[in-house]
Amino acid sequence: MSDARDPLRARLALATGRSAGRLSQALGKGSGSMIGGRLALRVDPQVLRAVAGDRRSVLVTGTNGKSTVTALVAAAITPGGAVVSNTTGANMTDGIVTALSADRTSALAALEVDEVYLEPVARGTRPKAVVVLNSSREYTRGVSLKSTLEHWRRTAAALPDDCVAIVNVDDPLVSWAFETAPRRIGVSGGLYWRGDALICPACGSVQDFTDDSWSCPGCRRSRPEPDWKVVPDGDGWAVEHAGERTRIEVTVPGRTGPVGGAFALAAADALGVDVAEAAERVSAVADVDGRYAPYRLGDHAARLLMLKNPAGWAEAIDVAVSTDRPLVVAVDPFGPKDTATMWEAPFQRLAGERVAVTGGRTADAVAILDAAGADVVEAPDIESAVRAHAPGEVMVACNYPAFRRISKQFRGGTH
Amino acid sequence: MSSALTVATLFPLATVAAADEANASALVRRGAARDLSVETVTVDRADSFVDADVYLVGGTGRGGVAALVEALTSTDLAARVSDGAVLLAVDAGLDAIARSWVDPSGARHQGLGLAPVDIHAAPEVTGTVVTRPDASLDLPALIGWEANDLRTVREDGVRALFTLEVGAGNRTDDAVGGAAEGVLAGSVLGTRLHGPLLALNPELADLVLARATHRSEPWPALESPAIERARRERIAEVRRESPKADWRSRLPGPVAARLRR
Ligand SMILES: [Zn+2]
Repeated sequence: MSDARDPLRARLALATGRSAGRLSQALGKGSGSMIGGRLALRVDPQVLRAVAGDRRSVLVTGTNGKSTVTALVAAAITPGGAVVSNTTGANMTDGIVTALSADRTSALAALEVDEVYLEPVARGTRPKAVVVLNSSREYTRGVSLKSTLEHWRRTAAALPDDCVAIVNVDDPLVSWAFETAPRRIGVSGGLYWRGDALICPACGSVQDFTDDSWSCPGCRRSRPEPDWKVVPDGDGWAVEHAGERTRIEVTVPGRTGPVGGAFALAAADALGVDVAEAAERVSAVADVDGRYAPYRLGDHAARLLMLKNPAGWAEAIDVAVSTDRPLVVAVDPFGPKDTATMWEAPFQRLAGERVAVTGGRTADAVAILDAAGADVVEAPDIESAVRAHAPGEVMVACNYPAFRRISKQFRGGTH
Repeated sequence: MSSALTVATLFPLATVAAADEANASALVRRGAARDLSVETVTVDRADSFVDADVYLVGGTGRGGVAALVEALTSTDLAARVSDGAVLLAVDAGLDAIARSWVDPSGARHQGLGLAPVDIHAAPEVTGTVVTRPDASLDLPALIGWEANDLRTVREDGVRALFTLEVGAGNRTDDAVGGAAEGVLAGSVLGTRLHGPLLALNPELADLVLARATHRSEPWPALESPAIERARRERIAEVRRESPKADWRSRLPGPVAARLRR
């Protein structure tokens, strides 16, 4: 909504952007937010600053897990006031403009930000906290990791003095890029994909990795001690911070869930929200976008994961191995290079294990898993793939179209 | 294992990912099947350069090429390659080892000169590529992906790495009038093809291993049914979608050329 406080040009920009958004919705082209937001920005680049206003924002960026952590952050900060969030996943500058202009009253914002757009979004929103999850290369992005890291470093140096950078210190690339932030706190966020972090971004030396830490023999940088970390707590997880231990329940399987929770609690703390209260809100998040709640299939329960790059696949493999859950790989056609980067994922961790494969790209998945030494079974459909494993919980690792298809099928076609 | 090879991936972070990083592990797997033990290393700064039998340099986009040329120039790569080490250069890597390349503004720059090609600007082409079988290199029809806006012009008399059944390749013809792709000069293999090229096409991994071990006799037959099936399905899909791909274009280059005459 346009607001009398906005400069006239920004008001005009918002009006144009919104009507284009409605038009694209009427034409059935997606949610309309991209078209609306993009038009709005073309009219006035100051519009983000206008719609952000003086609300207190948390930005969430990184290569993987942004949507999930943004949802957890949005929940965690609700005790501090009403929260606006770009829940459609439109995470570039224009999508964020659209989300913020649709809700001009909420005093808080939890915003997922495409890693390449961090600088303009940070300039426009002047955030109170920036959450940085991880960093790895993505095929088809057209941007080198090096230039993303340099962009982050510039952005970090220009953050407002009262902004806290909440960074995953387990990722040496993220740690380096946010060295320049005025205030920085560390979360032990895990590193599933060392492939891109083998070389120190500061000096080019080969890093020394241990199970849970890293150091550079060249420039003597090492993993900063995390201020927030996830620890096992009985049959579940807790987050440790400043000598306090806060129990956290997150439906996301494996360490991924509680780690996202730790980022969310750190963000809540940065905004002055009580951590115990934030943890309750995080634990009440049953599901994010149909992604994590398990689906019942007789004696089996299937948990879906959507993966888009080798780091994502590495995380899924880690969840399966570390939680001792069997794996189904479901991949559907998604353009010519749909399975290309799966060859880079560490499927050899599943050597000798039974993995069931299904979907329109079964032949590719079988080839990849066979090369990794897994015991591959092909299944004609998702139910038989899940039932190829013993009763209990099964991880279903999907690419984007398989995730869409299978979650729709499991929900009984309600979406 | 009868002998050991070192495969070095050079400066992977300098360029945009081209999904080519699984090429190193593909050489490890195919090597194991060929009784060769293959070790891999990643080199990301000049003073950690190692003597290797195979060098992989790749990625895509023209943004990183200048940095890649500079980094490679300060290594012994040229000396190693003239001693017979194999160099597989993919896309941005091919620009870097060319005699000359063009940056996005159109300005021409010197490359390392390890591949006898000059690079020129061209309209953008993206898509799946199918090569023609090549008996001289013991290669069946292979699959890969191209995404570039470049024309790769070989020096007279230098052969292309592939002739294409489907795809634009170098935007130049091969010796018999087919669409040329890449360059093969001594122990240097240059290509625009993205993706896990050696993983999807184990026969090409064989070619790299044979050159690296100075093997002249053909490898014994070795089937990889799962990969061959994935490739067969992918090629069938491309042929269905590509109007250009008639039966004639599936023939080996020389046969197709004779039919045209
Ligand atoms: Zn260093």
